[in-house]
Amino acid sequence: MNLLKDKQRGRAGIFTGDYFLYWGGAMTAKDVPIKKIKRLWNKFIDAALILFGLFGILNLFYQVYLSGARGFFHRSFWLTPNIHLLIFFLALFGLLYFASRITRAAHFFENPLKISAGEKFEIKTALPEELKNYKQIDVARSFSLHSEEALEEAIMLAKKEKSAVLPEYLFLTLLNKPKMKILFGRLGIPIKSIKDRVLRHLSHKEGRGGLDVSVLQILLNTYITAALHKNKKARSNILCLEVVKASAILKEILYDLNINEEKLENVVKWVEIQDKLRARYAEFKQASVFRPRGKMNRAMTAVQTPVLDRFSEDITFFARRGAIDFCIGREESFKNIFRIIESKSRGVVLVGERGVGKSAIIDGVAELMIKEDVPKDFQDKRLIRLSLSEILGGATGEEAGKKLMAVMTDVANSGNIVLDIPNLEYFLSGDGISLAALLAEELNKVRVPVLASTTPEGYKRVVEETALSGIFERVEVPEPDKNLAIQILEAESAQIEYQTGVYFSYDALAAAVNLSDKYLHDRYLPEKAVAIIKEAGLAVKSARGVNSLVNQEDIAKIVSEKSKIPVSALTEGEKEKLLKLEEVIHNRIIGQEEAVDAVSRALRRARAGMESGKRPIANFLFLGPTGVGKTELAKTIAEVYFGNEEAMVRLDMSEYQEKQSVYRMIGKEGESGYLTEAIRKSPYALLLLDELEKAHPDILNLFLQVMEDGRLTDGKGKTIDFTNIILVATSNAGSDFIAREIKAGTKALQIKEMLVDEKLSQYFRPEFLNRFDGVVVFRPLHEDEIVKIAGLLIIKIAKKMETKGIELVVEEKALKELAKLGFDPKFGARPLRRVIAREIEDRLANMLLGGKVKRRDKIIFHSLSDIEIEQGRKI
Amino acid sequence: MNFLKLILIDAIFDVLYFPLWWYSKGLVLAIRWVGRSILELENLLGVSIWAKNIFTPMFGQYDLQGRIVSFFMRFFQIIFRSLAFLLFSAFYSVLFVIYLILPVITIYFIALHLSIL
Repeated sequence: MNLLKDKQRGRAGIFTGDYFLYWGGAMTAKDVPIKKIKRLWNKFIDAALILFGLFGILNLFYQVYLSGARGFFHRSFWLTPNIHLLIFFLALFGLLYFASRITRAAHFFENPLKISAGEKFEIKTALPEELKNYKQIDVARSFSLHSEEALEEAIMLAKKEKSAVLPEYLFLTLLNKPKMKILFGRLGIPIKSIKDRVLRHLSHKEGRGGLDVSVLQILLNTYITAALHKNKKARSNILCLEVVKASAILKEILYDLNINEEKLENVVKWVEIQDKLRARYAEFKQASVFRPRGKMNRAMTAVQTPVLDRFSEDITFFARRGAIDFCIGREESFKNIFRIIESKSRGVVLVGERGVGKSAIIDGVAELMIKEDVPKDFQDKRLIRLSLSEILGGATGEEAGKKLMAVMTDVANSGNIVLDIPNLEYFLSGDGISLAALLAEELNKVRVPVLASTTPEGYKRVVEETALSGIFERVEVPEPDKNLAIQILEAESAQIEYQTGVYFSYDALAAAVNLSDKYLHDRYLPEKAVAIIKEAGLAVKSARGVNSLVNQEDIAKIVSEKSKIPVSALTEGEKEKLLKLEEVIHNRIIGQEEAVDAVSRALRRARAGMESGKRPIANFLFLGPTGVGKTELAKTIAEVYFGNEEAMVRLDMSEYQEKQSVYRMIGKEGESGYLTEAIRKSPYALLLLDELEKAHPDILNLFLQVMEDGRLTDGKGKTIDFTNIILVATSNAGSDFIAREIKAGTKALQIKEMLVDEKLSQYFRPEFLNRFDGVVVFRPLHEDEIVKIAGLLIIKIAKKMETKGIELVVEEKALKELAKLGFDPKFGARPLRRVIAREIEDRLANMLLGGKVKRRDKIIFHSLSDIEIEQGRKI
Repeated sequence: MNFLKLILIDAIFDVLYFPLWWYSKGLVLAIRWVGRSILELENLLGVSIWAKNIFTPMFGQYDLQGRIVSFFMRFFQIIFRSLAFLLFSAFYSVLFVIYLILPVITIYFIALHLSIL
């Protein structure tokens, strides 16, 4: 507070470089009416000047009318003093004054400073003499009208509440501004509910409507952030962001509404991106006027290129019409491309998986070419995208070669072309590789700049291993991280919203990115997420009509269709899944309470806010005899956690007993292995390792690394992410011991301890065992549990029969007989399936084939030897 | 009512500041505008590009006839384009002169016609 009271002597603000930033806008309740009246007064003056100007012109006409039209050209008309001309010239002076006023207002904005992101600024009070060597900037001048008004309203509100202006007051008044409606609308939260919560937590601080230091800091930060974002005004959306950043209470309130800082920041960016898209459109229209429209360059030296035109498209042509995508967050790629081109290299090859945005980057280059914001080699040129599929497709190698040469002749002749060759990997099919050599030769002759692109695979085989390697320098295009992908969607959504007339909530975009990242593995961000919001937009339009909001569930539905994973599994949070784990598992698993309990608790423990992000979700070791439900439990976990019991990578470790088998897992040098490839394809899955004790110790070391770091490197040098898997290893080691101890009535916990301490050490090293989140002991099954399991299996069969219209009932006595036949102390419930197949399914099959049962009949197994068929109604 | 006085004083200062601004910061803006307009004009007409390429044949016609035809074509293009360029530049210059003298002329006439009162 003292900082502000020192206003008389010094000024509170921020030093940065040669600048001193201070707030020159309203500070206290006294300032507010002055500011308001000033704005009103300015409007009044402008209006008066215009009206008076019109009046003056009328006066001129009147004078012309009085003296006759011819008099207008006489000296005497102008030089004889008269009242009408006096009014006209006064009005003209007024109009000049008006022109100067609006020009000055338009040039008020101080250029954004050179501030580096992440710099920290502290408010200091500076005396006038200290400021002599600094350029002083009143940041209030750069504030938009809405943000200025919000602050003034906050001051009045604080005065009413007899408090200093705290961030929460500013937030409340900001909420009334139109931009906030868009912002929180995207977040799907009604403004009113936020307001109510903030009002409940409004705090007080002595001060009667003066600015608190925290608010002053917010205002200065807003200016700095706006400058960093290269905005021309400090607008209300950025002010809102800074207010929230500065206030712990607001952060808490928004967090309760499921908005964290990152989310808010992305939505603020969204509003900005849309502003910029509009501005870009206007700018384009203007800049493109001066670019040649046709195929000719401005020096008129270019040559017609009929063959080339047949097999290519002109991207600069599309860019001029704004018919290309907006390129976001690719500055690094542009820099690399232009650096390589300026270093007189022949060409650039962009290497990245399909859908990561290689062609978006090329489009971005075309956009820069339109603005002539490119190195000299690219200026006054056309960017031509060659269609390899048209050249190579449907032709023998010889024909394709001829086509390619004809095209390159055109390229060489034209003299105003920058060549873009996407999808170099197309050379991989047919005689492609020899054509790649031909292309290299031709490119060496024509000497035009070339931008090519391909997949990593394509790069390795088409570029690295052929003469093309001498032409291209590699620029990596990585898959964008989720945050950047969301921002790209924010830009892409504008067009989809325009075409379909529906609106996307922020959660919808975030879900498109997160869910597609999680469940659609054969494609890459951002392309796969864009495809999803496109489909969702159209689906919502046809289901609910225009102007509806696309939400998270709509996105989940589309992802579910594509990935065959139930919607509930996609939308349900991890928390819910974890909380009802036992309940869901027990629907499928009979008995084994201790095991189910231990797994559920360990999963919860492993996930309860302690995601280090560097280990698998959980690692389990299941111990126990065969046929007691170890695999079944693993399947159940896969279904509950990943939405599908097929979401499982299963390895039988008895096949990996030799040292060499490590290579089968991770691949030899230059190859990808079975395990690494499987997890790369489905990184959200359960990894089941059967009979772990049989694996070679080197393989165990491999899994030690997986459990510890959550990643493996394959033979190709690619790092595979294992942090989204649940690792379950099963083992029969010590099952005799378990059976013995259970019989003796020892408690499960004790058995486990004894197992880990004594019995398992002959198979596994202690540090390996320590990596497991849970070592779970399964006990042999009781007979009554076998009966229940038989019941479960029968239900499955009954369901199948139901589809044929036949009801199946197996009574208790029959079940018990089945259990007796199917139970084997050594193999647990494993023989049961075979018994049921023999005793029930075979008989049913015979009845069906023999025509003994028809639709609507009921088959009742009183016992295995007493079967009754109840005839159904006749229709 | 204290601040009403403030605002009035502010307004008067603003009017007095106007001529000063017109011939200082405003002048800089006007010069920049004329400069930019002439550059855009050059960009549109491309006189310098035509001049630079005067011996380069048009449309890739590198034979002798092509070269001769191109040379004359370019020669006349340069003449006409230069004329257009000069004409429009003159127009912008006139606008700039008007900017310079308009306030002075206005004040002169105001003073002149004031004698009627």
